[in-house]
This record gives sequence, C-alpha cells and structure tokens, in this order.
Amino acid sequence: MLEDKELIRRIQNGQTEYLNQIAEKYYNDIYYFCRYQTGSREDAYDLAQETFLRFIRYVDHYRYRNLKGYLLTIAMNLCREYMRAAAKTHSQEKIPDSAAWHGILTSSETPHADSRTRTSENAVLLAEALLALPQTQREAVLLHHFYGYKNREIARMTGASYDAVKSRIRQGLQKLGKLLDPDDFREHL
Amino acid sequence: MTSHIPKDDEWRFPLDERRKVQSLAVIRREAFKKRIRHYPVFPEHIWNQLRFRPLDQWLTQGGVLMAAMLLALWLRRENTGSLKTVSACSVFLVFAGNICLNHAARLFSWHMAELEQTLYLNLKQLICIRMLEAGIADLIILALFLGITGHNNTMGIGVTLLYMLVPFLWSDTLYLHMLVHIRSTSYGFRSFALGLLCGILALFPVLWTPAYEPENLIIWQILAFAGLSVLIAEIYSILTKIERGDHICLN
Amino acid sequence: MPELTLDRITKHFKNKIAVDNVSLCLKEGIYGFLGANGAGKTTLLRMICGVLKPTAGEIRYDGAEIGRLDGDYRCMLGYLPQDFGYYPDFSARRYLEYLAACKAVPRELARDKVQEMLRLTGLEADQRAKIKTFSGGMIRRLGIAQALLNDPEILILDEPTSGLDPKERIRFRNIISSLSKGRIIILSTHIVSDVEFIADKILLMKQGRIEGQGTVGEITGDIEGRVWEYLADQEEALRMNDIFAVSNLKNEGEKVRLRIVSDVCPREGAVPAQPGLEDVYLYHFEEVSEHVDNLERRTL
Repeated sequence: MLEDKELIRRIQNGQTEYLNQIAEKYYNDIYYFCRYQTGSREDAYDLAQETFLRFIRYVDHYRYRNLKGYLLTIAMNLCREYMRAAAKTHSQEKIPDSAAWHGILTSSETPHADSRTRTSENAVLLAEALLALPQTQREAVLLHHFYGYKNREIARMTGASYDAVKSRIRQGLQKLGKLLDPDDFREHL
Repeated sequence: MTSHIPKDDEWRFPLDERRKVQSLAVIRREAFKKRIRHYPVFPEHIWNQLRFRPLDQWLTQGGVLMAAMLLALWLRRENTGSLKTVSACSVFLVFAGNICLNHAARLFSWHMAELEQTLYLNLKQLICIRMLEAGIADLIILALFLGITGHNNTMGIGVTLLYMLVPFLWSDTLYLHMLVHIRSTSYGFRSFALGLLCGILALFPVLWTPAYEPENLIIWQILAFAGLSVLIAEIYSILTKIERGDHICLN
Repeated sequence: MPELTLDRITKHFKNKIAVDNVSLCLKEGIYGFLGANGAGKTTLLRMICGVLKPTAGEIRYDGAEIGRLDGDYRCMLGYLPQDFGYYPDFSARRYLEYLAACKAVPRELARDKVQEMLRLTGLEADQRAKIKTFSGGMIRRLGIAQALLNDPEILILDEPTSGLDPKERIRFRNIISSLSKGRIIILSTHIVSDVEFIADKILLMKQGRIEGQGTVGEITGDIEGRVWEYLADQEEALRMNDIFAVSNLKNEGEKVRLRIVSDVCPREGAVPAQPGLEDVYLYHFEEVSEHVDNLERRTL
C-alpha cells in the first residue's frame, strides 16, 4: 500500500485508478462513522459511497494534509444533511432525542440474524446510545473516542471552537457512559 | 463512568460485504470517468504570465528602467535644485507609468477579451495581474528616483512623493480609462497617442512653477486624494464592466 | 454524466429582447444550434460561457449555478467565439501554449496537448509561423484547436465553420464527431449541412426563442407532407420560385426540379417528398441556408 501523500500525488497527476485504493483503504472507517452518526445501518452504505464520490469530485482541489480526517469531514457533512432531511420528512420518528430513545431501543433495531456475535450486539447498543446524544456531541465523541483525534483537530474538522469541542466530548462521554452502564441502564427502563 | 464505552475494535462489526462491493463498484466507475483538473496556485499564474510576455514588452520595460536610472544619475551629477529634480522625475514617471500599463491594456485588444473571459484565469484576474505588474514597475522607478536623487532634495520625502505621484495618478487613470474605452483605432497608434496626450497633461505643473509654492501644497493633497479615489473607481468600474460582459463583446 | 440546465433564461439589451425565456436541458452529445443571423444564438452561447449575465433565469451545471462554480466551471469549458481573437505577433504554437497556461493545463501536459491539437487541426507544419500570416481558414482551425486544449466537458463553438473551405469543413465535422463522448458540444451555425449528419439533437432558434428541438428525424417528421417535388420548365420554375418557398433547384436537362415547402400541394403534378433538415430550416426561417448551391440559382 502506498502512502496517502503519494496516492494523492499520483491521482492529481491524472492516475485516477488510485482513487480506488483510497476507497478500499478507508471504506470501513467511513462506513462506521456514518453508521454511528446517523443510526442507520443500511443508509450508511449509501452515505459512505457518497463520501467517496464527493471526494472524487473535489480531489483536484485537495491539498494533502490528513486524508482520513478530510474524508471524515466530508462524511460528517453528508450525515448532517442526511439528518436534516430525515428530520424534515418524518419529524419525530427518525431522530430520537434523549427522551424518546428508550422506546426506540426496545422496538427498532434488534441485532441482525447473521451477525449474532457479541461485537455486533455491542455495536447496536452503542449506536442506540450514541443516537441519544445531541448531534454535535455525537460527532465529537465519535471522532475523539473512536477515531482518536485530538481536540484541536476535531475543532478544525467540525468548525467549532476548541473549548466547545472539549466540553462536547466531556459531556458526551459522560452521558454515553451512563447510557451504556448496565446498572444505570436498568434504572432507565 | 466511561468504562462501559466500547474501546479498541469492539465497536467495529462485520460489514455486509455484498453492499460494500456494490459501493466500491460505483466508486470505481466514477473514478474511471474522473478527469483530473489542475488548479494552479497564484505564484504559478504570475510565472505563466511572465513566461508568455512578449519580448518587446520586456525590452520596453527594461528600456524604461534603464532610462530612469540614467536620468536619476544625471540629475544627481548635475546637482540640480529640488524643484527641477522633482518636476523632471514626475514627468518621466508619467510616461513610464503609461508605458507599463500598456501591457494591461493589451488584453482588450484584438478581440481577445471575450475569449479571455472564459479561460480559467479570466479577464478580470488577468487584468489584475497585469496592473500589479505595472504597479511594481512604477514602484521600482519611484524608488530609484528617491534613492539616487535624494541628496539634492531639500523638500522632504512626503512632499517629493506628492509632487511626483499626483501627475502620475491622474494621467494613469485617464490613460487606463481611454485604453479600455476607445477601441476603434489601431492598437499601437492608440497607445502611443494616448500616452503622449496624458503625459502632456502632466507637464502642466512644470510649466506653471507657482504650482510648487508651499501654500499650494493643500491643493496637491486634495488632488492626490481625488486622483486616488478616481483611480480606484476606474478600476472598480472596469472590473464590473468585465463582470457584466456587455462591454467586452463586440457586437 | 455532466448536465447543463438553462432555466428560463432571458437577456435584454437596452431596447430589445435577444433571448426570451429559454429553458433547455443539455446532456452528453452534439447539439446543432440552427438559426438565422440575429436569432440570439450568440447571445445565448455567451451566457452559457459566462461572458454575459442573463437578465433573468439561471444556468446550472450539475445543479450548481455556473457563476458560483466560477473557475471550476471555466476549467471545463472550451469556447470558440464567433469573433475569434488572437495576438497577431504570436506564433500558433506560442499562442496555444499561452492559452493552455491560462486554462490551467499543467505545464508538462500542455506541450503534448498543444502538439496534439496542432496535428488534429492540420496546423502542425505552420506552428512556428506568426498568426498574422494565417489565412481565414487556418485562423478558424486555430480557434478550434484552442477550444479543445483543456479537454473540455462543455465545448461551445459559435459558427465554427465560417471561413472554412469544403475540405476543411469535412475535416471539422469528423473532428467534432470523434469528440462527442462524455461531452456536451454545442455547435451554432446557420448552415444546415454542418450539423445535419453529426448532431444528436437539433435546436431551432428564432427571435430569441427555441422554436423546435429534437433529433433530425423528429424535426423533419414535424413537416412530413409539407415538402414537394415538381418538375417544371425553365420559365415556370422562375415564376414558382417567386411564389413558393423553394428549398432546392436542380437542372435536369431542359427542365428544372424544384423542391418546395408548402402546407398544401403547390401545383398539380407535384409529388410529396421526404423532408430534410434543409426543408425544416426553410419552413421555420423562411430563408434558404447557405448550403443551397447559388450557382444553380443564377443559371436560371
């Protein structure tokens, strides 16, 4: 596998076949982000695909810095659009706020038949819990806790201030921990 | 509290490979169709403009610089008075300024404007680059004058600048206006005739020496301010005209 | 695939309406833009190129307004203006290299691209000559070469064949049809034969409006039954030429075969004929395109 910088150099010199290498390399990362960000296991495939299509559209302008971060930023914007559109079409049912999330947890997503592994179950629980966070907190938590970005980098990616990011992460993680705590969880029910 | 949040790879679950393959196939099709466009950075544009500058433009520009240097050196050796030095320099600057601007006005000649407006580096940007080039050349000449003839000057740098720049500003503005607006006559004749005309206008204060009396300084200041405003308005009007487009198309 | 949308485009000049509420959706392919001089073709093309701003309406490329796309749009654009400008003191090669630089073609690519275009337009041997020594046809070919330098997704050619001789015309048509893949090509002309065989779609423009659009088959189908052929003697032919819209005249021995566009049968004995694009042009614009051999008319 070539370095990202070299891949971008070759692509910008017209060797567009290397775009596929980038897609293969980062598809999963982008998929997971979209899946947890939107809560939709199915639509996340489309969003991940659209992320790369947009990247292909913008690649001529792209000045290499941090490719994965750039792709995640595109994905984040797409997810925001997606959530906005979803909120518009079915105002309450698709976007659960903290108050409504209990109902969704019990009714909507049950683990898929072919993915009965513990990880998958955990993933579903995690996704549900994440959805209970406000969108900006969810973004920050995902990028920080799961993708390992620093506060400063997240601030740049999300366009928020450093302090805002810091507090979003703190509050988000706190809430998430509570939601995923088995004891606490029972209490909620 | 955060101990229950999945860490490491616990949150990564297996993907639906079929859908992933489908997605990648769509991406592959797009990648295949993609035509890469190159977006040069600003210095690259400047360099390209310099690269394709015709030889005669380089020669005239070089000639003007050389003449400026010789004039400055001569004034220094003769040790002429402040007034004479300043008026000689201001007249020279007027002509030099117009010669430098010539290259910018070239963009409007030979029916090129319409085509240029559709290029990546469009007419608006091209004219800005050319005016920037002209401005830099003028500044070099000005610096040469101030540097070389400085010691036989008793008026102070501010006043000297004022006396040199006012005729320059006005004649440059006028020249720019006419070059862009009068396009019927042939290019070479037009630029020559207009340059001469604007230069002669700038001679006015030289011929009427009381203009340089200290009590008239306020008039110079007003003229400088007004000249600068008119120049800015002129550039702005050229750029909006280009943007609207009606003017750059010939029929 | 790229898609260019014209959404209710109108352009007013001081006292006249040059383009009147035109809506079009252009996709990959060659569009032959037919209309008499002064029909508003050039104004419309200038707006598509972003040189003129529409008085009302919007032009979008893949959903984005072209003014907002700015440089990104111009990067994809190749344009040959009707009144094509050039720097007379530049050699053909230097001129193309200069424009390639302004079109943001990377330098290492530009050299090859310029040579490729010079070859394509048959100017290779004259590349070092100054443009002011070129003939009208050569300048036109240079204009076509220049429009293609940046491998444009949108190629707009305003009267590209004016000044070309018949051989150059055929060459031009071949070049254009070979380029149509993955591009929107708009070719404006008042010469029917320029577009009859290569255009995927014909647009008829009259007095600022689109009068009709469709494939050559669809367009000619619209006047099915309105084209007639009639064999007349010389004198009668001359008379009929004054009364009817005659799209062609052909000497056949002592007699003349007239091709007439008319809603009703012009004369007893006239037989219906298969309409061609030339007849459509005559039908809509009430004038004969330059294609018709004027020599034959003069022999009458």
